[in-house]
Amino acid sequence: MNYLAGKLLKLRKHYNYSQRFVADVLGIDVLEYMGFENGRDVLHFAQLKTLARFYHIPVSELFYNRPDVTLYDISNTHTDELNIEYFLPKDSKWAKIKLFFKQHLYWFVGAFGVLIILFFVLWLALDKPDKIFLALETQDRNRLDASDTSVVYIDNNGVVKGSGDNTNGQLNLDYDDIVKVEEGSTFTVVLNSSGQLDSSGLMDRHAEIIRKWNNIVDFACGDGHIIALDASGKVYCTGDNMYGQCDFNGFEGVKDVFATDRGSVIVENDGSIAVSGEFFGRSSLGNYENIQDLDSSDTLLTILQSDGSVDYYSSGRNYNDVPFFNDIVDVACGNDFIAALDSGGKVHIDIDNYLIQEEVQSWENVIAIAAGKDYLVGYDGQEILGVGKNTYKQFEVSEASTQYRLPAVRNLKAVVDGEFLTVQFDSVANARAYLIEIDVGTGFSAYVEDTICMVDITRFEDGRTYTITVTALGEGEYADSASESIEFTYHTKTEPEPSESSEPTVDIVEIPFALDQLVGKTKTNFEIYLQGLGIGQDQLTAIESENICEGEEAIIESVTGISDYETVTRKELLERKITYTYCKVENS
Amino acid sequence: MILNKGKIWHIQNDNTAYSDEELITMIKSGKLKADTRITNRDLKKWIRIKDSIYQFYLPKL
Repeated sequence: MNYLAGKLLKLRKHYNYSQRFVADVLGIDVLEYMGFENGRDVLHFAQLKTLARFYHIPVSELFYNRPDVTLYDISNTHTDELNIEYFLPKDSKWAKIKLFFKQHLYWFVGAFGVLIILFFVLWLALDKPDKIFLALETQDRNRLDASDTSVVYIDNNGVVKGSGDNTNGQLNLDYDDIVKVEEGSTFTVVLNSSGQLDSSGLMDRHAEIIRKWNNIVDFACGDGHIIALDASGKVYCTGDNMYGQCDFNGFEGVKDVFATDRGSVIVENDGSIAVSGEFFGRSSLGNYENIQDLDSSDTLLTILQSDGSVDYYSSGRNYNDVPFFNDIVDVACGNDFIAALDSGGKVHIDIDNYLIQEEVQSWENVIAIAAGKDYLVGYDGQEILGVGKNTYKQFEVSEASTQYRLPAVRNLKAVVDGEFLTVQFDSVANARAYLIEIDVGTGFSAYVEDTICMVDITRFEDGRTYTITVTALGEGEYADSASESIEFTYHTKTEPEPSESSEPTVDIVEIPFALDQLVGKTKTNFEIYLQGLGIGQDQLTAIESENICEGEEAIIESVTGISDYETVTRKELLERKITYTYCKVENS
Repeated sequence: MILNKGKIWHIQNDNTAYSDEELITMIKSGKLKADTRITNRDLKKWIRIKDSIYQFYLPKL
């Protein structure tokens, strides 16, 4: 049990200090300090010394993992400013800057207020289009979006993160200072605070086009198109135009743009609404005073109006109840549900996906929602909440890290080569290894570091069809790829009839190859390597030595039967008996 | 966050001094056990890792 967390809380509360104040004493961010009080981490010794000095207690009282701590009697209440400078660590320049700001707070507020008034007067004097400020700030509902296979969001530092299917590189996101992010079906588009667009996963031609659009104040993505609006009220559109979804390209006098999967909506300066593209067979959206937001799926279209009410259209399905939502700030829809986020941070579900409806009851303080066809995600400013099908691991986006999903392997093929079935494919950048699985016998699987794997042909039955699946395995910031599969039907080759002709016979000679370095590999990698060479378990004897490993992994100490860098043929290898020893991992 | 880079920690029966970061790494890797005694000049006596807040870093079983 970690008693430090409780002691920190007890001390702080006793002296009536705020978490921010104690964080300033330590010279750290308040979120980091909260982690210490919540027991998620412990302070390092230097920090303990600072706090011990601050609370006038021996450092051992904080370092010992015991619940008791000395609390002095305080007869007067005090403010956070009391004695802080005495306790600041010597190198806490940032804490001193914050202290200076606090002490002269009123002057800063006054000066800031004057600046605001001046700016407002200037703003009134200028003739401006309606949407000049959107590119300068981030609205919460613009911070999260989802396609059917991936989720993207903007964290508190303006950095874009994503998770899920990355086959198209749509999650290769290296952007900051972003105010809006949206996804098409296989690409992501971002808008920065300077009014520039950029993209990941988009075809080069269209990516180049959107980068040339300037002073963009808003944009939206359909499945395959992007529609944008600049500060002068001009519309730009590029991408798929099969349904006429880009027919508004070049329009002027527009104040808002929206997109559905295969359509576009513009709101002109006079408030009139026009649609282009495919809207479940409709040619108009009816009369709306002011559309705030749209979302669509294969079967539903939801519309959020400026008064916080929600309307919807469906294709083919009839629903008994009209959604009854009030005070709504964001909407999202899947193929069988509508979600609405109210200003209190609660999510409401309509239509008949009861699983999602039940799960979101516990969501609180949500600031944005988005949906794929069969799942819903919410963002509370700290983490992504997900419910529904997590097929592409798209819920696993965190503040701590961004993972790029490796693309699936290409050019996967299987060829019978003598006594082996050779499975080969193109390499994937940043893959650490590949997992090969074949539904042969009781199941075959192998981890290989190379892009080739040889499987003993005797495992296969003549005339039977097998599925061969390959997955590129990532590590660190790279997540495993989606699996790529092919079908393979095995046919035994019949021996040719002996010929009486005088044609020469051909001897098949095996090509020898060099083994890797074996001693020093981790036990896991060593066994994976042998498996990839086709060496069976019956050829291996593993022995744990008495030596304790230095690290957390068992390391190969010696190998007999084969040796480092030895040149062998595959036939020779399969006849060897191999014994290897490895060190012992402590506490294993 | 900058850790104290100074070599302040002593481990019983070990003549080497270690920094905070090095000590924590050894605890996390299992090189130091829960009963290992450590100290520095501010603590003034030996204390077992399991009796200190650094038990937080001991490998979980």
